[in-house]
Amino acid sequence: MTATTTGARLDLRLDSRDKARIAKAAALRGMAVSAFVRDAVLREADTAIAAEAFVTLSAHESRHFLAALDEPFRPNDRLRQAMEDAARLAD
Amino acid sequence: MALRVAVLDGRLHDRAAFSCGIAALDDYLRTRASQHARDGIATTHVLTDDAAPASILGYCTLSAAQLLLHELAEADRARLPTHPVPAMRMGRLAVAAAAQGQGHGQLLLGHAVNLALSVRGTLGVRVLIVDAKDARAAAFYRAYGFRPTASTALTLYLPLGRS
Repeated sequence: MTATTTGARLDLRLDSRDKARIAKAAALRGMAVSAFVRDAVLREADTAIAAEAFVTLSAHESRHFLAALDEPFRPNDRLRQAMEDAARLAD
Repeated sequence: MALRVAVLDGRLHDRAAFSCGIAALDDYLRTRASQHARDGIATTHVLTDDAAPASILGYCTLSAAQLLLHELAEADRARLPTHPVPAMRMGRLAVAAAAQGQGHGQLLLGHAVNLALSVRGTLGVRVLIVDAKDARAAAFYRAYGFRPTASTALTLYLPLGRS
């Protein structure tokens, strides 16, 4: 880890061939292995977090969503029943 | 029998005994639910009966999410001052195998919708997103008015309308 980190460490075991591959890739980029790994893992972490947080509507559903936006919320009978049952749960 | 929904508390609720028949959902409750709550990733809400308060009949997980609209037109952009659209997401819904067929799934779903509506006014949440594990679960949500985010998607959504 370089001096830019605040001192938290992450230890992991990996195959020696995988380590050699990482070292080669880091060398190709002219980066220290630790910096290379840190950047790559953080990028992957951001992707995973974004995948969890973001959902995209199709073009068709986007139009439907916009149409529903200014309408009052109108649950169907089944959902209305579910909401009423849930509202009667003990506090 | 008095059913209640509460936020998961490892000291009160028996996570280890929960079994819904889907290993991933059982494992989540046992090993990750509390950590996700601590890390602010998702909150787990559990359904229990006062007659056996430690026994988890079912659970759902809720988290904040954002909804992106595909190819948003300029005119519509003005109607959505916050795009991505703030959303609530129910990522998991599970009912214990021994307690299935009693409407507990519906109860947890109703709870999530009520909660989403109650925070709509204060947090700007405009949609509830749910993740179905398979086509059968997706059909369950569709019966309650949820729509697939894309034609074959297992992620569905319910617009919450205007506040």
